Amino acid sequence: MPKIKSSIPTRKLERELAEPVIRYLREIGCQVVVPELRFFDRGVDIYGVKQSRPRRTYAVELKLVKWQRAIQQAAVYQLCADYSFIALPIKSALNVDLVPFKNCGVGVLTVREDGSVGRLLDAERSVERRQHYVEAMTKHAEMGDRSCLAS
Amino acid sequence: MPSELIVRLGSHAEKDYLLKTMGLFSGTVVGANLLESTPGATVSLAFRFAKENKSFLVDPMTYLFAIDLDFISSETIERSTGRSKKGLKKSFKKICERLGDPFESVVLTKRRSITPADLTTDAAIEEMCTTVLEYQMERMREICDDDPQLKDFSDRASPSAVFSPYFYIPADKAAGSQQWEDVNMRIVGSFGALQSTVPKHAVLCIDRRILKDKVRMRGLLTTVIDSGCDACWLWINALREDDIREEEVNNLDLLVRQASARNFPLWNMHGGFLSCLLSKRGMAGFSHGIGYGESKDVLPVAPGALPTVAYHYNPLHVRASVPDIIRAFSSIGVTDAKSFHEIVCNCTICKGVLKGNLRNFEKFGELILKPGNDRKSQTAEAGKLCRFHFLLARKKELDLVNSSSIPELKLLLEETVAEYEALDQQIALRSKAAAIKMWAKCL
Repeated sequence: MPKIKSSIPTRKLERELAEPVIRYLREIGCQVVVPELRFFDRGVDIYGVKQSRPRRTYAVELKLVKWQRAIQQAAVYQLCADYSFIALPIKSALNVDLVPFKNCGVGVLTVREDGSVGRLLDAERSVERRQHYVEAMTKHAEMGDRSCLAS
Repeated sequence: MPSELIVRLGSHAEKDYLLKTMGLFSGTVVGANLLESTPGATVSLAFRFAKENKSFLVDPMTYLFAIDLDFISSETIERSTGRSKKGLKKSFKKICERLGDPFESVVLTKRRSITPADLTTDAAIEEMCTTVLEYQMERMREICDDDPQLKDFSDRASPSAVFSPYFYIPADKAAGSQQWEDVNMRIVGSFGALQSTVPKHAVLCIDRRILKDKVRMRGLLTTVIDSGCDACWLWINALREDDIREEEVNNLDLLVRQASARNFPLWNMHGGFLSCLLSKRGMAGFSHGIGYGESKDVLPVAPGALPTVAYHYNPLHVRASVPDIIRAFSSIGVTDAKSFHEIVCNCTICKGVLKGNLRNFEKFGELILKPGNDRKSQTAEAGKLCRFHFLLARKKELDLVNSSSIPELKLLLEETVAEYEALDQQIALRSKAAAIKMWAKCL
């Protein structure tokens, strides 16, 4: 009989990246940082809001290794955030081809073993963002409501 | 050969979709459990299909009695004692009672799943084949006879064809693979020898890994073709057409051509656009649910887990998530509702949803937080829109395939692949084009 695969171990390891990234977003000025904020059928791993003017929003997709899938996820979050990043362990970052990231403006963060975060590639302000999504996500984040957008 | 689609009805909650689009497809198939749990409504539906000269089939779903019975059991609370009791769901219990042995003696009396050891004698197999055929031929008539409102119509209550009993054949290394193959082949032989006023359809329900074994598959199909059955339905467990490998496409194509060479109709029980394309090689048709079920696992989904129906993205003939599609708009040239209808879909559902405003496309992806859940799920309205859009899109695909030559289809698929492969790597739809590339190999 077919076996059901579990993604729990991977998610757990990805969650270990979350804490340093949350800290990092706070350091760069985000007053609101929310894990697992829903956007349609997706969960933005970390969503940050810099409330001081000009208000800016950040979406981060955490990935252990598979950056090819992560770039697609992060690109979707360009619809609902000003800046979109992927974050991955420094060891995995060595294998990342930065060209597609540069092409679409998604940034790359690296998480070192000591928990510090580096910026391998800056994100560009998203030209794909839809203001109504950004506003809705910001509102949800500020309310601490992690449930999904699109209702 | 024009491709035919038989739409599978999962529950009567889906009946409306079927009735509104029945003119577009060849017919419907319902599970025997649906017939037993809602007999009047199911028979009434059969009449509607008969009136329109459409096929109506009842799947006896015998395979369910050979897997872990927990999948078809539920807990009930005894009124007298207040204690909870686990037992076979009523509809499946009724099927067992109607089908007799070995379903009754093994599943109901011994309370265990059927094994090949329960079907060792020719007499046991013959008896099972006879009762499964009679069940499909007679059950709807009995329901009519028992219902004063339906009584006068009992002569119309018969299926367009009957299915053989069938059981899942696991892969080589799994216990019972060869035994189940032997049992199934003996069933097909016995069923093929029965007299019937309607066509007899065999079912081959196999592990996906068996599809890779060309020789074994060829042998199985030869036995079915020579059995006296009039058609065969292939159910390759959990085979997702958008994930099919080259070896699998090639072997599927070989099977289709093998059946076609003998003028033997071969159907895919759970298929999608690839199965539609395979009609160009001789596949008779395919079946799926309303917005889902283009791939199906023999292990049923958890009770109450309604399938989420994602938007069917016409240019790639696969389902895609709404945010992935929205993200791709700027790359594929969709800037407004007009260009959306030109590039993606111009069905009445999409036109009605967008109403000239591209932003309304997100309505196909709307979610709601239901009581007791911590995650939102698809709204009823979004599900309804996606289902209707899917059925209209599928009809368009059938028309496209049926009205195009193989070179035309090949060119169209190649152009689509070229267009989507040229998209930047961050566009998720780009990776979905890989499926089309694979499908084109069967043309």
